[in-house]
Amino acid sequence: MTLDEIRSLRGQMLATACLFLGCIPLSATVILCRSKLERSMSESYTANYAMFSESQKQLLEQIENSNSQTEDEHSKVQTAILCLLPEHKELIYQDWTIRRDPARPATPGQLVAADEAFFLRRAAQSVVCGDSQQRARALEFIELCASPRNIDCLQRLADWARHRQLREAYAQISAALDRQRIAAENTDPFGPDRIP
Amino acid sequence: MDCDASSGGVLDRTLERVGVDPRMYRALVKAYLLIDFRNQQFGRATSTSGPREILTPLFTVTGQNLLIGLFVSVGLFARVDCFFFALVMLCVSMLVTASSVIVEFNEIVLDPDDLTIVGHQPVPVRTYSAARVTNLMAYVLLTIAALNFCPAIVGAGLRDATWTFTLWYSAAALISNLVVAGGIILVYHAVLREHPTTQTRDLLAWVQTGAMLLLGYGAQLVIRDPRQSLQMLAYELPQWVKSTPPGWMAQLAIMTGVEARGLGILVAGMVISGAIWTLVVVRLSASYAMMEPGRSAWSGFLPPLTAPGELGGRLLRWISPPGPERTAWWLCRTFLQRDYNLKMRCWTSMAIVMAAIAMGWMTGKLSDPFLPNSDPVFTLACLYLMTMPLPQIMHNLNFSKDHQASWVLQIAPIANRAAFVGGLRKAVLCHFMVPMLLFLFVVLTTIWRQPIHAAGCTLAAALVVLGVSWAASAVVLKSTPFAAPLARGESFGPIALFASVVGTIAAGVGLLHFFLLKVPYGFFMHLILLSVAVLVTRFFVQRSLSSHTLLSGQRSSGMISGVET
Repeated sequence: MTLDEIRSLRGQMLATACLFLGCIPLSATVILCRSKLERSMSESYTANYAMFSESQKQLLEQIENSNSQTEDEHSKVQTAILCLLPEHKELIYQDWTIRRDPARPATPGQLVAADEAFFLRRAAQSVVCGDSQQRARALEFIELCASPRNIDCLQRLADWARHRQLREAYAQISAALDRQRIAAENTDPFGPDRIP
Repeated sequence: MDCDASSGGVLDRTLERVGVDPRMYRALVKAYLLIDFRNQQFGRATSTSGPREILTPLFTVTGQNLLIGLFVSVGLFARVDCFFFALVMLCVSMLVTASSVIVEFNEIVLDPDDLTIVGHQPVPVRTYSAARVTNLMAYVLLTIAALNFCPAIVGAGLRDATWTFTLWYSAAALISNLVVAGGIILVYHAVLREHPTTQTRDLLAWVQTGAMLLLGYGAQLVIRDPRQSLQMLAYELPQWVKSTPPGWMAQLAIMTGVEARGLGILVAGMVISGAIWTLVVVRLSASYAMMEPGRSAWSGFLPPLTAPGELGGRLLRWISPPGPERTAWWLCRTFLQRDYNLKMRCWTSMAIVMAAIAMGWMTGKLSDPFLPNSDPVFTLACLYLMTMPLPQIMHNLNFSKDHQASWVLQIAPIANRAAFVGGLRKAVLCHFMVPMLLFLFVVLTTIWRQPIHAAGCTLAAALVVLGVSWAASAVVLKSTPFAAPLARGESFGPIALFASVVGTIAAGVGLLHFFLLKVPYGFFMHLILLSVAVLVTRFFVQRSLSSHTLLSGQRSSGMISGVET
């Protein structure tokens, strides 16, 4: 095909058709890479405990031990969490997610008690946007926080996972939801086991 | 032209039945398609292609639309659900279709040049209208197809989608885009009763180019966004979105079987789309019948010039002394106001700086270099990236759409070349770099909450910008400004070497800044070193510029032969 033929109307229409045809394998490649794309999605955490200031480390310690503190100290810690900037709250959440040793089971409860909207949403964000391990850790956070809203939160996440047909995520969330329901029934004074 | 009127197909018989001459119709449609490929406003406005290029403007625009569809699809794929995917893709395609129709309004809807080409031929109005509307539909359909081709395929690969997505999404995209395109034509033609102005169309052509840049950088942001805003928006999408027209169309697109609600939306969309396009055809046919020579032509709006004997306002009197420097300043400002191509080419060069600052802001990487334990690499990159657009902006001053009038400047009695070039340099600095430095200062102050730190960093960037502006005025502004038409590859090719030298120097200055921050009083040493470097550059550049008379013996490629003889 000569240059003049390419410049003609027929040539240009052929070239345009080739553009469209070329997009078919490109689009198909995107679809075929779906699993890889899904696996590549994860949250990136920037919190580094070694870089935290002494006051931050002290606050983390107080949060974990606040159950054993007096009521006055406990409310001070709660106020301190509430007054933190969002980026500092984010760092505290990330630190709990990354640093598993020592295990700090009381921290999620204290954080959610202080600022339920932020921390529960943050954990839900990890479930939606994180990889499998991050999702598991976020679900652990939601379970440990023992908030009255955590069943609603888990139910919504389960609906989301079912709607998007994310089987692995749905299984993880459903398991957490079942555990929370059982726990709620056991602690509910009007639950089936408690009614004489 | 091969126009076989004797074929006698179904189409011909239908055309004859509605009073359209099939032979003339075919000839006109073929001619219009050819014109579409060669003579697009987008191509002219952005100087990306000419009639003799192999890749014609329409081919380029189609490719660009396909890329927009593909890039946005990839950005959304595997991150969001089927409904959100369809919603975003439909909104993007409607926006681009609307801007395309406005940009190409003259070529595809009402072209006053048709009168000089077709006016003397015995073409019935109905035939002419049919050919024009067919051409319009072909263009709109090509745009819609290019924008939605990739999303229709990629969307079917989403986990919660089925193969029917391709079918229903295509129907939704066709209806919604036809409604938007028809609505735009009606608004401009029936309500406003005028064409979009030249500036609007040029600006929108650049908006399309800007959209490409935005999509490129935006995709980076989506991938790097630590708050995962896109996925969370899809997760927490408000319910009212489903009650908007794009929401209805997205619901149609995700329909998996035959559902009453989806079919209702489909039928309603088809009826509305059909009604709008019937109105478009009726209105346009009436307009074609009323067209008179010159009636539809319009002249470009030019900003008024200052009174004779007076150049510029108070600001100019304060910044620039009278004589060649003020003349050059005024000339540069006037061209930047008048010539949209020139202005948008210059602002496009600034896109990389704006994108870097925005990306740093949104990803939280613009950390304060004065704080201990901070990671200042991205901040320093943003500071010294400010110099990168300068060579290209200065180089752009060599070109203009009014290049044929450059003989006036060639014969003007301007002896002091250094002052003249200095005026151009100051105009560029005040027009582009000062606002950008102020923007940088505001962003850094907002993020760091330390105005002194932000001012220090901005001052360092300003010194480097000043030095590079002196160097660029000597290296790039060698010939008569605004004297050449922009040719393919000329917008960057000749200054590629200089631009890479500037980039290397900027990187070196950034490294120096980085290491000097670790030394006590290192930042002040850095500022002193930069100031000395700027003064030395200024001295040599002024000496170099003063040693030549203005523009002597140098002609640009745009010098018109008539003047030379």
